[in-house]
Amino acid sequence: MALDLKKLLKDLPHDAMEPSVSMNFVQPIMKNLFNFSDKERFPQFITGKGNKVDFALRKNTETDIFLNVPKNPTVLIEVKGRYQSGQPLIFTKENQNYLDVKKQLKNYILGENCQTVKWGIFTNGTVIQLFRRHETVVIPATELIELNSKNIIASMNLIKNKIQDVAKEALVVSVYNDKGGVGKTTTVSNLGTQLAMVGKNVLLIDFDLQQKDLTRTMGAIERKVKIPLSTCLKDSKQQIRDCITVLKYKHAKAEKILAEVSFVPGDDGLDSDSTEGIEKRSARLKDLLDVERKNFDYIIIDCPTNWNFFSQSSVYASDIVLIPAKHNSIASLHNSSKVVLKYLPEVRAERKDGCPYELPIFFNGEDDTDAQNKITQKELIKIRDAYKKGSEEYNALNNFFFPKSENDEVYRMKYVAKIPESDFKNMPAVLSKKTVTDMYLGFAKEYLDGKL
Amino acid sequence: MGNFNDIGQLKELPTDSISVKNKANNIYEYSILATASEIEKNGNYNPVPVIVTITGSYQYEVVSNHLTYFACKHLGLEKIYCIVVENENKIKRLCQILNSELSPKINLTIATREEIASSLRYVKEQFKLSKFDIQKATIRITDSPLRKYWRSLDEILNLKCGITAKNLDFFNNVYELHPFDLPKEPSKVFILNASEKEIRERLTYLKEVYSSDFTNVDIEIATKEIRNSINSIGKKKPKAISFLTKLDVGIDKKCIKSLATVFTV
Repeated sequence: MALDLKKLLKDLPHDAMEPSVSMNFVQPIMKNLFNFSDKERFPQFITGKGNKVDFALRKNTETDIFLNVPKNPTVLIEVKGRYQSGQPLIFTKENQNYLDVKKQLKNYILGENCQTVKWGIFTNGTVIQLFRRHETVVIPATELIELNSKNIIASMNLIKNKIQDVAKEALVVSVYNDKGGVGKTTTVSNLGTQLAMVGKNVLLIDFDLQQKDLTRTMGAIERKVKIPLSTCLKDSKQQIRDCITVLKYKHAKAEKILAEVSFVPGDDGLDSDSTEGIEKRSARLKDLLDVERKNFDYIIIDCPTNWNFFSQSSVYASDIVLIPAKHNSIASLHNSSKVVLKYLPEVRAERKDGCPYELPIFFNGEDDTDAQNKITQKELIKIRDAYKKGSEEYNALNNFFFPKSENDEVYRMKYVAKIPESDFKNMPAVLSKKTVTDMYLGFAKEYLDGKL
Repeated sequence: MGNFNDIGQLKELPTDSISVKNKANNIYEYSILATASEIEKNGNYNPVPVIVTITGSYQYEVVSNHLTYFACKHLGLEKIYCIVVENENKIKRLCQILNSELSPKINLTIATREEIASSLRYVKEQFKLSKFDIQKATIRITDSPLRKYWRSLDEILNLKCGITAKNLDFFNNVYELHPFDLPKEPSKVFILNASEKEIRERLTYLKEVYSSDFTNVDIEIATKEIRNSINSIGKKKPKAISFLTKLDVGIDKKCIKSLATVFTV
């Protein structure tokens, strides 16, 4: 018998506490809608270090019964009440309750017993949100949905369909700041190549089509592809796989291949006037990349400075946005906050699936002195404190500038000075400079995958 | 809207990604061939765009200006200039009306005297109803108290205004109805036992539904007067509801029939 979701929602008391939400709302949905049988659900699952999540789910095979051997879950569900300690428990975008539960769920998902988890759900019977995990990055896979009788069927079925897919898929990353000269291209080329060096399947895209800086840095300026990216964008029948060339970097003396990177080079076929005619405009690139998600671990896009067709396309196509800045460039700090507070929320409103989200700010820069660091830290606090404490903007900037605490310095790439000479060799610096390799490996661990 | 979709945009779309749902019902082959040759003469492009809506991933459907689409397709053009609109019936209908493919309709439920008169003139001329009396029909329709509750245009026949079952279809071309809900008819009450509240409720209902009969009736005054007269009646009980016409509160003979639907004596 089909589950009557509208009735389920209507019958849940407005002051239901966690056990009631769990029993009368979450359990029927897990069982009768998501189709996880009694032996495919494990309550109070230990995620690691003594933490327990309300439910862990996994499909059984003939010989492997999850309830008997509770290992390798694919979905975690954290349940909250509509009321807690006699008070209504309210979750809105970026309020403290929401930030807390998001953090809690993220910790569960990253727990040592949860390495196979791809999906995390949080609900209190009033709101629900689905998150996706990619290595150590946890990102929204739906908006924070306020449930009502009109949207509950569509919302629950959307989540049901998504969590059925437990195969790995790429994390799509844009590197963007509204201010130039902050090392966007340097970050894309070195981070991408570094990930390839440790065995990840990486696709890099030069979406600053006319400048082609990334194409030059990667040593791919002479490369021919079956069709140029600009043609692929303009012709809705083309696929991006025909724009890809594979770059193989060898050790200078030995024949050993150091890294293999799939690459989409820039070309001259598209200027800002001709972008108007592209079908679906800035949503086109996402359609092209979504087809390739199952073929790569990471898809990283380099885009131009300025909020134009190219950067909008790139950000729209991404799960996360890396925002580099320079600690001694005040404009780059202010512009980074504009990306977080204005551009990304605009794109999220268009996407309607909760993405893309920014990762914490980082600095590409040398010459750091204690004095300069203190000035920079003060400026960040000033930018954040322009907003009311506890407001959506304040919380967003606080997480962006100070993911750990206000006293911790912003993550910094110190040896960027060593990079330009490599650029002249037309290959990313990570391939030849040990200090740079270590720096980008450290960065990848901190931001993308702690297990590298 | 915005930068992430094509809604409201002029686009040059691939012809083979555009489909037609309803086969051209009223477009002659002659029109397609002749239009195609005109387009060909002018450099094989269509300065007046086809209106399309999105039906799938890079898939479109013609909403309006089918003739241009068929002509371009006949010429084998690879791309056609189109304007993309939202996939909503309301918008599709508006596009067809604006392109004169569908006649616009007047909402007769709330139409003004001017709208009614002009639409009747249009129908008379279009369908050559030489004996049709526009002035008489305008007055009857405009003044019809129950017009706002009409659920079907058949109701117009009761007005005996020259619109008959025979020519009603012509009028269906220009009118649509978005009727108000009829107020719930109150149950009948024995008037001598009716409370002030019950009387007020019933008069309000009658004035709402039969407004032209009750134009002179002030609900509050009438309610009080009826109540007072009932109290002073004594043993001489009235035999018919018509006793209310003697109260001088605006209730007259034409109200009797409707009063009888909610009061008993």
